[in-house]
Amino acid sequence: MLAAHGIEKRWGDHPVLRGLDLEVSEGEHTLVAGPSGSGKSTLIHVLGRLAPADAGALHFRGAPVAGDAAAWRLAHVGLVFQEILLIESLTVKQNLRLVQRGPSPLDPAALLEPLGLSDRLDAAARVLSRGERQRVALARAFANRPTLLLADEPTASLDPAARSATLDHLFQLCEQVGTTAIIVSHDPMVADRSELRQSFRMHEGRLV
Amino acid sequence: MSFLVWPLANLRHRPWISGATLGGVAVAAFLVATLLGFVRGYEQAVRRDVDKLGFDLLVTARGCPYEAATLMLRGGVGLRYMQPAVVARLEQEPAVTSVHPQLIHPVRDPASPGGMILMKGVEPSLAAVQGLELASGAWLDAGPGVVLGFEAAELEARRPGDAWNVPGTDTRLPVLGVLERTGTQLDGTVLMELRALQELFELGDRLTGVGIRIDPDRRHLLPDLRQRYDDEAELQVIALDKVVEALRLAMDQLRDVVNLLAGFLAVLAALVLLNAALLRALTDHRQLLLLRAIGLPFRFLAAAALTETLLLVLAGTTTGLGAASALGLWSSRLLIGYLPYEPKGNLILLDAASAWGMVAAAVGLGVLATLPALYRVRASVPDSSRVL
Repeated sequence: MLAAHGIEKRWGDHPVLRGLDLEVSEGEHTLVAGPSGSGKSTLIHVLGRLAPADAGALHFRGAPVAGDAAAWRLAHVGLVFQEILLIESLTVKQNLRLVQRGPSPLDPAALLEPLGLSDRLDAAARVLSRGERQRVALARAFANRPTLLLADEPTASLDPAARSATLDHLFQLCEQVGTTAIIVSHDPMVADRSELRQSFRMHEGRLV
Repeated sequence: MSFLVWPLANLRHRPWISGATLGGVAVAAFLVATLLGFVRGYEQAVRRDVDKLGFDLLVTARGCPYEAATLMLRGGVGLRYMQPAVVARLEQEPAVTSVHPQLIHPVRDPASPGGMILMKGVEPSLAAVQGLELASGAWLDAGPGVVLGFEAAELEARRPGDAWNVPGTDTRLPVLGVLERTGTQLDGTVLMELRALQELFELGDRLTGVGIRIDPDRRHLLPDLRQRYDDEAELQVIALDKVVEALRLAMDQLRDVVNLLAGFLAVLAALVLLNAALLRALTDHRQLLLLRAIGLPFRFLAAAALTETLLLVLAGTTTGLGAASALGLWSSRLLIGYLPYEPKGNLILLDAASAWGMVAAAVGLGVLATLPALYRVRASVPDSSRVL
């Protein structure tokens, strides 16, 4: 489904990705592990076309990715970020509706129901607990029924119980929507998940 | 989700910033509308008052032009008198269709220490010339008595049929009628038949001025007529259009100050908007970057940010314009003290064209103020989304 070959990326003078190769098939949830600063987040940014690669090729479903990056993400990619950011002025439902611009958006109530947030649909984002905010952020990543989920440290700064629940929810939504996940994380709890089909470690800008 | 939901939610989310911005724009709009509207309204009111005099020329005893202008409009005090023989001469002029001698005589108001009541002796024909209308009662041709201006009647608490004690005399005269409100100094004046006023105060046949109407078909004779009488040592002739011009000259300096002040206020409003937009950019920057990262097009984010600013701008400008309109009478009273002549009524002239002009200018300022914040979001994506 997604293939990256010879990807190189520098931030200023510092080379981060050095000829990285990665292939992910449909339903093949993938983990990229590695210590902080090893380039995991940069990989997510390049795969999600948030930042252009300096060299290399990126293919999606057999074709080179091209055209407007934002439109491509909106149509195909769900993003989960390390930092939980919701639009504070909006309700939970409005946060989901705001980003729903894809061709087949999911009903917010249906998205929130398996996450145990059905009763928080009309709650203001600013009054949610940290765990609730993380679940809403997860739901938002699936709002446009994405083919590919790119998750950058989705369990960072959560307590062990919340980390486990977040991963449960993440894979549950992948199952429900039919999404393939690429997760970058240095959390051992992620590496232990049975849903993962392949795992890599980032080493000197390449996957090993 | 409705396009307006997000901008409206943002405005509610930051009530203090939104309120302060809206208030700043409203105050600026109020002041600009009041100041600019006053300049136009004042000119119009002066012209209206002059038109209501009903004369083409006024001949008075010689004095400075401003004094003469004030004399015509306000009645003036410390008057000079003119020789009555000029009336007969003017009646012989081929260009003159009617002559209206008048005597202005201020008397002390016994009910108000230091206050004066302005009495004006006129011929009954003046009512037709000036288009005066009665609120109640009858005009001077109904018999001996006085006709009170609208405010004079209220102040003296008199109605037609009541008796009025002429200040400084033992004379009681019946109130014949009360004039409709004119919005001019006539509202505070007590009118009497000219001859009766002269006799009452033993002023002989003195006059303070003679109003003249000119035959419209013989207006070409006007310059010569004006010149001949103006050349006389004791007389001066004031054409009413010259009065307007004299007052307008007096206003020119005020207009410059007003325009400068209005410009300053517009800059102030722009800074308020810019500050609010930058504050929003600061607090919302990461959220906007996140939405860009998710894939929302920049034009959507720009439209939402512009909508938010424009909602504030439109609400502020509308509030300011509404306040300027509602408080026009009060603002007029406040501003008019600085000017040589004081027309009555609401002098803040707000027409649709100028109101729309202000709204358009405010919208333009709002758009300009939002651009730096939008540029920051545009320039930050995608590279700085790494901070996410």
